[in-house]
Amino acid sequence: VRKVWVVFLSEWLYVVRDRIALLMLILMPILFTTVLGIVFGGAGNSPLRIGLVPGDVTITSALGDALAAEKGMRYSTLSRSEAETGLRRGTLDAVVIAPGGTDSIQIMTDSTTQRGYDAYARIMGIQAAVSGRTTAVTLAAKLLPEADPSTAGVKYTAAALPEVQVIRAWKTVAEGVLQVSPGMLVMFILMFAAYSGEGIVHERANGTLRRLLATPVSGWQYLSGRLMGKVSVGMVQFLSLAGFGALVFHVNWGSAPGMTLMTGLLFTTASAAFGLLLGVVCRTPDQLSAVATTVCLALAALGGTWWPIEATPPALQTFGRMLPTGQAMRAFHALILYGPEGAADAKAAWLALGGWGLLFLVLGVMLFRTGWKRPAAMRASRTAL
Amino acid sequence: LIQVLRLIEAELISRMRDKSFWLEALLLPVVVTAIMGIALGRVGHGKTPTVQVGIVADSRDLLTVQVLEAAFKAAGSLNTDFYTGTDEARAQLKNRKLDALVFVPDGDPATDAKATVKVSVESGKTTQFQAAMVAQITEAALRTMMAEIGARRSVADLMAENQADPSATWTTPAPTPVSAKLEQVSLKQFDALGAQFAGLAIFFSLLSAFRLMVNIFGDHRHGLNLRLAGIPAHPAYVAAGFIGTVALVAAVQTLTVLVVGRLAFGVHWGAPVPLILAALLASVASAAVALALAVLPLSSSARGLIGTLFVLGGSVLGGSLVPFDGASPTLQLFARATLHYWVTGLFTGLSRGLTVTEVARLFVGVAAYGSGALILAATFLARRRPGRA
Repeated sequence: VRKVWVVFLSEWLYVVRDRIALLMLILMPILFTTVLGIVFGGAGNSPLRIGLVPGDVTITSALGDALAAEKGMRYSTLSRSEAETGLRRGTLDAVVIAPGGTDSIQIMTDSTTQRGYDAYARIMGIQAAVSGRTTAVTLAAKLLPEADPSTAGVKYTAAALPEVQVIRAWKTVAEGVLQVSPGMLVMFILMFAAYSGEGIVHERANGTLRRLLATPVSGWQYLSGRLMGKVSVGMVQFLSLAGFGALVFHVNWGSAPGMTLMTGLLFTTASAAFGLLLGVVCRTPDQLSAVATTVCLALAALGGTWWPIEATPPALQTFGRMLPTGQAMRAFHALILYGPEGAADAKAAWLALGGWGLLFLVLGVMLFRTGWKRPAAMRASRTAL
Repeated sequence: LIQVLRLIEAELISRMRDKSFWLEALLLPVVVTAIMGIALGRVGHGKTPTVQVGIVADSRDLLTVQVLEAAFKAAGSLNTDFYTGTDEARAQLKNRKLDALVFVPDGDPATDAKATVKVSVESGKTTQFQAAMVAQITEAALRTMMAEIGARRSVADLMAENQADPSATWTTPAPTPVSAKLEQVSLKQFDALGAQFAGLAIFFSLLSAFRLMVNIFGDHRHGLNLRLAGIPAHPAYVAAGFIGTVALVAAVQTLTVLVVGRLAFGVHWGAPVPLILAALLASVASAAVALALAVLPLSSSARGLIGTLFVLGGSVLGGSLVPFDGASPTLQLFARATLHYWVTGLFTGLSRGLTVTEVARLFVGVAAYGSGALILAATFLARRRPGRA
């Protein structure tokens, strides 16, 4: 156990002595979580900038009143070409075109932006109110036959407006900080564990590993110490980032603390085993860096750490959910959103994460045994001993 | 110039022998661009997939059903099927023939004041986002419907209160008989993937440029740099050779992302000449920034720390990984301090069909950023001890 403990401590020494490692461990994920949390969490947003292109006097006036009354929205009256230019240049978030010859209010937004999307949703609400008011004015002013139940063919009652309720029957999709906080946590734990395989590459390159294995430390003890070191570093990262998400963005990480910790431990172990495998397989630090970057970014994107996986096509969702990143996101989302009620999803993810961890570990151990051949002289001397 | 070109050739040959270079320089951008393109829902030349909606109700004559069918049709990318049986509809949802189900209760709110408009939307296992879109359109359409019904009821109330004769002439001046409907139109050039790929292009090119430059100036290659310093060439030529090599790799990466975006996902990048100019300018600026970071007069560990923070932190702060316009003005002000902000804005502007004059500010921004980095790098290099390139 003492030998394992020494190898375990050496893993931590790598982290503490390396400033980039420390940066990647805590600071970088916190920076990513903070900026993305602010952007997608809606904190500190400036008012939406709307351009109103006038048309019919009544509708334009009603739209202007409604836009002016809306909080967090600023509008200016512009010609159509001015408004389109403003939208293209990014000085406007949406353009509302009051109807002239047509009977529709048109809205132009930049679909690439969050603000464009927000503006569209808000203007939909304004449009409903304007539509009702316009209809009321039109009917009252002209006493159209439609106002007469007998001629319209529809009996309008004078009861209050019923409430419109849309029940979303599926489970809530995690968006905003609920997506960003676990997403960045999963991505950075995986990346850090993968890059930490560099320690093994260095030890092999400078001969430390040979010297170490010439001592009474066995390969198993070496790998166990390394693995436990990586898991402990990963858990420190997990606890720090989850704590940060809970304190700063009020993400409900503590709704089922036992299960959340278990998920964190299993994902961290799978990531650590992956880092171990990379360290065993890659021959140079450059090679490890290139492979780790490519694989980690692909796993992060496919597993739904950058965007909600529900937003991707069905086939990609099915594939993404098989990956360790997809499983970790599934469990974290279930526990954050539903607490203990998300246990079924979390437990299914545990099995998958355990399977991935075991696979990486078995591969790492097998390749560690077969991948490095001791010099014949050393083998002979050990046999003689 | 020949010396510079020979140096570029030698550096490139040395890099290309390493398989990990190919993995990082070409495969990584292609893989991530492809994943992003497919994940954001567009496979093959910008076609938006159609969402299949099933409406479940007792009768197709219900006003709510008619309003919803019209709203889904108007949305453009939604097809509707009508079902009277819940089991049959759910089976279709399970078999992925449908993306979402809309359950409309019996009763007509237009004729029955007690009728509840309580519509539920159900998604399949992997179609939550499509169902969310259906729910949003449903909600908007029903709110509009109820606003109109409410208006008519108000008029009916008003007339009842005033004991007005429906056939009498109303004295208020009549407005244009317009019922306001909402219609979304998009400018042709707008493209969500354009902005995402623009960000990816600078993210990868700056990341690779920094790594490559750190390798070139890395401690393990000091012997080579010393030998380079010993040849009869001005140090500026050597530096130009390094920048040329790194800029060339960055340009290849940038163009890879842009070409994959165009060919695989139909992203429109505007006229080719401004685009190529922008790609070259961004690549040289990336190389200059990478050089400045690689020769910072600090320890190699501190240089790595600041460089990594600048490259990765800049990508998120500069809005190259996510659309950044939702951020506060203060955050956007900070974003201007990153190269990512200027280059992402430049490519996004070109993809939106802006003219060279309209994006001139961004061209100047990228050029100024690159020049500033170059001056900084030259200052750092001049302060180094003689004999160290």
